[in-house]
Amino acid sequence: MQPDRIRSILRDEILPTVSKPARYLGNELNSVHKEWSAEMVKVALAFPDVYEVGMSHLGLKILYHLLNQEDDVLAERVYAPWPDMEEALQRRGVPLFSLESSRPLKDFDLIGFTLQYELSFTTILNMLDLAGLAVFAADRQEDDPLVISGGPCAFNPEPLAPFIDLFVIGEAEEILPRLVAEYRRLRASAELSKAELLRALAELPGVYVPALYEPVYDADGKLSRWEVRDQAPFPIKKQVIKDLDQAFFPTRFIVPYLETVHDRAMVEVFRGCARGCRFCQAGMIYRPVRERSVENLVELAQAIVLATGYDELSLVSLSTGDYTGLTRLVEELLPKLKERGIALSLPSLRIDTFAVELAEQIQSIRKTGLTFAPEAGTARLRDVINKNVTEEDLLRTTEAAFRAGWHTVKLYFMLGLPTETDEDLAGIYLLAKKVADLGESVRREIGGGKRVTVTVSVSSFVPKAHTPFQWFAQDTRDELRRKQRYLESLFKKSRGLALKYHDVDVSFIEAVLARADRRVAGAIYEAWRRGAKLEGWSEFFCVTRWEEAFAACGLDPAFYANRPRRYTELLPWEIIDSGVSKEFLAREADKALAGSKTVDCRADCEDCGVCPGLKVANRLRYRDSGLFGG
Amino acid sequence: MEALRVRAQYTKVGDLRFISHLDLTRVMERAVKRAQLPIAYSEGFHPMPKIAYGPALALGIISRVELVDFFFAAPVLPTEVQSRLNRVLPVECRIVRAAAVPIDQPALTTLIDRASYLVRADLQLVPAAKALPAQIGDILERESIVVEREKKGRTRRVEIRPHLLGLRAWVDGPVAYLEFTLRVGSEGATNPREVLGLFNLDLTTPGLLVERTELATESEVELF
Repeated sequence: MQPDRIRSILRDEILPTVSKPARYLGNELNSVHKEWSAEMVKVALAFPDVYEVGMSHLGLKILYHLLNQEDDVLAERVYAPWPDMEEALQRRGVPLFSLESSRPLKDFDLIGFTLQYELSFTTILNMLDLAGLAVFAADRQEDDPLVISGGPCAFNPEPLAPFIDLFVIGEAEEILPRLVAEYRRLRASAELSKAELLRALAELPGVYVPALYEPVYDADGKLSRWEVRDQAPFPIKKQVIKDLDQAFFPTRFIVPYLETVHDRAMVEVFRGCARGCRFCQAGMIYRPVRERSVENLVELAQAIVLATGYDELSLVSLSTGDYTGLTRLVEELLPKLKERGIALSLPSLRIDTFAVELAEQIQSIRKTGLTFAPEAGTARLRDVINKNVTEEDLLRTTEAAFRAGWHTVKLYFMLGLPTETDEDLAGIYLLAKKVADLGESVRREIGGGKRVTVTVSVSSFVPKAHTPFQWFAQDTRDELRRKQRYLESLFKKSRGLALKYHDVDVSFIEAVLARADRRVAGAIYEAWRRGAKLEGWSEFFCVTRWEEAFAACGLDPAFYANRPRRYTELLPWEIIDSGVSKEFLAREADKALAGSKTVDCRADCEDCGVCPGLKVANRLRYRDSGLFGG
Repeated sequence: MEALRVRAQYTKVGDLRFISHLDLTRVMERAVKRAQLPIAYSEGFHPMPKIAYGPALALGIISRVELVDFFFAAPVLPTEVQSRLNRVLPVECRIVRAAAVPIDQPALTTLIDRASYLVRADLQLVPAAKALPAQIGDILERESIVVEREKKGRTRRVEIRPHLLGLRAWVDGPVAYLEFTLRVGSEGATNPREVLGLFNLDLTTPGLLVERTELATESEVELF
């Protein structure tokens, strides 16, 4: 279908009838509209969720502007249509199209899906199908676009392997420009078949072409080895940027019309996190820590707010309080932003007393809510997961916050952590109660104010690939439900405490997909065929569909979610080398069981393997800040 | 402190009809920031730029007569407000006129009490619209027109006849036209959706283009 035809059907017939039509316009401020020509390499950047979610994601924004910087490359966006839009498109026979030029996805050379969470997998299949493409790579035509994928979930690419032609492993700023250049060269140089093209691209560092690797399983269903075809590289090593100050960062961000989930200007202060929480995949796969300089950040921030007109700027990272230049940065940035009526926010602030002072200073965190994540209810279990927060820390900080005027506190915990007992669950309640009591006594002492409420939000632990907990079983759904009921019985007695928890079925499916092997792709396909899509939205998630899908493939989901693995077992994601060694992860798992802590690697190297393995190093800008190794 | 109030008339046409009034207010605020105009801010914990709009335009309707008041903390020429904003606003949203107005004038939402609309119906897509000229006679003769209005899950019956100030329809070649003027404002009013409903049409009917053509006041205040 021609873009003009798509555009006129949209404007005249479809957009007036669907919810939030602004999702599909594509002409937002700073969107890039390039002339289409044969020489261009055309990339569709796809986010497998709706516009408001996808447009909040920093990574894809970076890639969009990075690719569009090149004269002979164009990048356009595509998001999952909401069901009303999907239905309208199908009724009118309109294929899924890119926002900027209203071109069918089939017209692109490359379609890149970002993999941010497991429950988006079925949406990828749905988007391919809406684009008129076969969902299985093997069924797609020679001249169909290459379907590529990257992001955190690509660190276990296996469950998506049959659908995707090529994965990029690691930081796409490092890989994607090289991949596009090589694609252009190969396309121009010879008449290569798609298989030959993919084989040639597989030579690039950080590129995984799943068709070149065939997993072989034991009689008991465990992975025994890979059959590597055509001497393809093995394993695939994660690619990283060495110096973030030298890396591209956009300033002319697209500004959506709609209010998105994170609707503000963002600068990334650093990448990676060295705290070493043992459950946390981001903390392992984004190593090492690489900080930007204050000068660079101030310059970026000013350019961004001028180019976008946003009234809020966020300093983002995995844990912004750990940035060694934070005080300096806030001091420099705050007056410059204030005079333009722009607020500063620090969303991923690891809350401590310093953070409370900082928050007071910048006055940007509304005093209605303050969030802490102790993750576990007792000191013992916090040691197991290496979350180095003490009860004294938490109480001291919350007290400071209550005195500073906050009256609502949110506490985040996980249920089903390794070695957890009912005593640890009781610990969640006791800790929350202490915080609430403390809030009340502060309130009485300062004489009045709003009653303090403490909301406890409990998610179920999902063991992730490339973490020290990758070998552990997830609690069964029955056990997780029992634990939820037990917690409920404790919280029932208490005023001022609210308990919220996540859907156990969702966590279960996440756990299956997070450590799946390639056979689970069949279940993803079957679930999608039964209507699964947009499953990050609770109204669209349905566990029966998944149960039927596993049964149809003869797979036992418990094999993936609830089975402890031995250190000697070959894991499906070992085809990916994150730089963090298996020995380190096993050592950390042993220490977890022994309840022994590991220090932040900025203070002392614990030999995780990343720095020598990837020839990188932690890059801290301001060692004199006294934060680490002063 | 605001030193100056500048009223602007702007367009919301083309694709911008698909963004809501709330989205439009964000477009305007960001444009003011990017144009680096000396906008005044409200007091309080979260200072907001002082920008006050006329009656909201429903999603799906285009207009070239929308009104907004900007309050500035420092003197700035209305022509400069217009040119600087037009440099950063989307093409479908253009300031077509700007003038200083007295700082103590009542708010636009208080001043504006009537709005006119023009509906163009493509007869190929909406053949039933051919009957519009015949239908309006019947409606104008009615002394009472009651519509059902839903609010928070409850349905109320509302009399809208007194708020319908004018109604005209004609057919010209492949297009049928419907023109009407409504009373708007705080004390009882109706809206284009309800009027279209009288003809079994809706803002979402494919082939309809609805335009707001005038915002006016019965008071003696000069809008410009």
